[in-house]
Amino acid sequence: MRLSVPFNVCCFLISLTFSGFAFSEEGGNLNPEITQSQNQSTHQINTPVGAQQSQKTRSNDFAFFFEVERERHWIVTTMLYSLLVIVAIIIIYTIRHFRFTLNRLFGHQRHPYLDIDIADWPTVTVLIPAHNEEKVIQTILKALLDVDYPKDRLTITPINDRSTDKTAELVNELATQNPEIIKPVTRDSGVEGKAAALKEVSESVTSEILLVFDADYIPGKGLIKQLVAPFFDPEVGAMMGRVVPINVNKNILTRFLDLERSGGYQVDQQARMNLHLVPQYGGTVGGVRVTALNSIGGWDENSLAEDTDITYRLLIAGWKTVYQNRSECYEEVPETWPTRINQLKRWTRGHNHSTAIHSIPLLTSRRVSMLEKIDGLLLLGVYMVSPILLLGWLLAISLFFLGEHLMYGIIAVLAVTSYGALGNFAAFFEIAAALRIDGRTRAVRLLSINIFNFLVSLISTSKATVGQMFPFSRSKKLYWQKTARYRKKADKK
Amino acid sequence: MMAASVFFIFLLIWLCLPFIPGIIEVRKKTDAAPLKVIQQYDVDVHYFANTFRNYVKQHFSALLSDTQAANAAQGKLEDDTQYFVVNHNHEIPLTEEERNAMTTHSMLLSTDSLKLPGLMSYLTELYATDSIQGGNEDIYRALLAENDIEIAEGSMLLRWMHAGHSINVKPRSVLHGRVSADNTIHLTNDCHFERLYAPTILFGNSIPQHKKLTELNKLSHEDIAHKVDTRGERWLIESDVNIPDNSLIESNLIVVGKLKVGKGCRITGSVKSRHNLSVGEGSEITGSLVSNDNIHCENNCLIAGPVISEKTVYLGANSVIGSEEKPTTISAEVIQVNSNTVAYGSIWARQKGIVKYTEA
Repeated sequence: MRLSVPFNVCCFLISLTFSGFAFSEEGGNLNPEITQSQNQSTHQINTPVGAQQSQKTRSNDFAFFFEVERERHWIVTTMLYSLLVIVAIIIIYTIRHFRFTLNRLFGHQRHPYLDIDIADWPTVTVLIPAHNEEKVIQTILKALLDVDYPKDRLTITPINDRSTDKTAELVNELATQNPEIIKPVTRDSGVEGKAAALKEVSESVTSEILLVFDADYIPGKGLIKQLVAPFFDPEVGAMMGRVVPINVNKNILTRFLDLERSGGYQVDQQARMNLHLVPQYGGTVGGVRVTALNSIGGWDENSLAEDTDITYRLLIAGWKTVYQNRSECYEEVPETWPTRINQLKRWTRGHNHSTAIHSIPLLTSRRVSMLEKIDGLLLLGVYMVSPILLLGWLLAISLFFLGEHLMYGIIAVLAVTSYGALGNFAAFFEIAAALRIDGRTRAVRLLSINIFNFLVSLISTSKATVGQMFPFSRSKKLYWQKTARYRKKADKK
Repeated sequence: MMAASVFFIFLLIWLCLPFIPGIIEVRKKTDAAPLKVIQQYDVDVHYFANTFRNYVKQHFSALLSDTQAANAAQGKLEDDTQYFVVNHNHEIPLTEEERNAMTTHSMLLSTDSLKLPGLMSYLTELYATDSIQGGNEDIYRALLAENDIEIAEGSMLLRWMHAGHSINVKPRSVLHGRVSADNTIHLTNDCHFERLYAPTILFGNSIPQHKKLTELNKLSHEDIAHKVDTRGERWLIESDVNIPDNSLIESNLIVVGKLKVGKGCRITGSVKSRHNLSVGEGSEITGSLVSNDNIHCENNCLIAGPVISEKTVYLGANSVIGSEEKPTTISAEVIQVNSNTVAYGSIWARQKGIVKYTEA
């Protein structure tokens, strides 16, 4: 927190410094009285795109957008207005993230279901989609066998989908020992992928609540009760817990991802919960109410991001998704950059797919409040912002060399806000606030170099988004795109 | 050329300055451990009691087995805490200085029951293998008794209290922290509390019996004046709703506005209102009762499931929350409970809970 502020200020100063140099070179003057008189004498000049425009002066940096000083080539005009729109979008995201951060630091915190520790617990099925998970599958099954949920109300269903390693063998070993609780399912045919696996198995589930875990997660003893507790609220259709990386210490990437997860969950998700906005079901460490799921037609097996898809379909149908920050579960984060980039691209494609499908129904839904619509739309657009931001930078630089020096102030705003507004889910000040709340004050030192992670995210998500826009680059076939696991071997008793 | 080189070197150093703390942290890894997520004391109400019981066993099991000792055993622990092991025949060992200051930092442990003098502050944990009987206007840090605990009038608990059987709290007492018993907690008028946990939590003198509802008028969603969305086994109504007296609704009920359930109604399902929710006298909800705002239950209500409010919960006299077979949870920022109400399970008042007897 303490570091991020000076760093943002530093960015701002750099931007301003460059604008200052440019003004000096061009003889720019910030005094409005002088520039206004100069404007009056120069506004008639018809200047083509090029260096002649550099002789112009103006009343202030933003004047261009509000008064026509001279004729410009229509391309330049389009570029200028496009840049203005982009800057506006980035500012909106910046304000949104500031709002979340301030809410998390100083606002009222909502944890309405956290205290439910005794109740007549509903029946629960825990689904664990697994595709070649021999390194981790027994760890999660053993952890789930150890939870304090009533055993007569708990079913654990690992879904072994076309595994070619020892996953099936390891699952069956534990299923044989615990036949009342572990009821595995094996898939050898049908559509591949997590959504399809969930859809097929969910249709035969008789429990009231479905929880979903990825195979690399390690749930704690009390976690299942915590995840089920929100479903005592009949309005809750889905819930999400907090994901905490366990392999933080591996390398710089895992440390960056730890920061990102902190910001994304501790601040972003919790703030959306606090503000009655749209917390997102994240596909793992969470669950759905079976009646709600059935009422919206179940999982969409063609969805690339079943978690985002379910969140929005439930929202549009009048169900709430809630986030519970204290329901924490360990996960493994990617340890290599190619794995991380692939994960990001997969998330981007899925999320953008949901954006295309759900934006209009969201905006036209009667059951969704105006605030939820705004936040929902901004959340849907979060991966689109990367290419938009890159385009903004490109436009800013291009306009600079085209002689449109009116844009220095805008460039400064873009430089500062773009750094603060992005970083996948977690903006940089969100990360700083999250670390402060978590009591991890020394990890905040990484914030300055996290800009490299930000750049990787920016380029990866932009590439994935742009790739989706070209029909020839799309693949209709769904298949398992799983993240690499790093645990040495499956645990043995 | 020279000036330009110096300028660029200076610029490079200046631009790299913000990265230095990050690079140092990457190399030294001073804060690279995973966030600790499994905190047993969050989920286990008995955590502190069990931890202290183990501590007592570890340090005092031999002393506590001598129930007929003629004199109180005493000594000091490793952290310099003074302790006394007494039995019911012994007078509580307080020095003149402690009596004058009305405060003791000694740990008191009893081989049987412990009867404490009043107007004292006991700022270290107290333990009895049988029962603890407090004096008037005592202040306790923490209490653990394997049988019963009686908190006398005007007393205050600072941290936690657990009884192997039951806890009886006299009027005007204030209970901060966790209070748990393996059988019954009984709170009387004007008591304040935060978190209570026991199979039976009684406010008042007698356990009320809920009268079975008869002559109910079954409502269908078409009987509601507003549009009702019935998809997903629920009634979703996007306005304020008044349910008429003696109605029967066989569905979960979700109301976006305010909800007023009339007298003598029965709802077989859970009820949620995003605004104020009031339940009429003698009504019965078989599921949970949830509100983003306040919940007000009139007298003689029966709520079978959890009662969750983000603001306040008021429970009228002779109400029943949960059941012996199916204990449940009440949670809100502020909870006010009237006389002869019983709750089975746990009650968590995040800011304060009040037992206040008012006229029915």
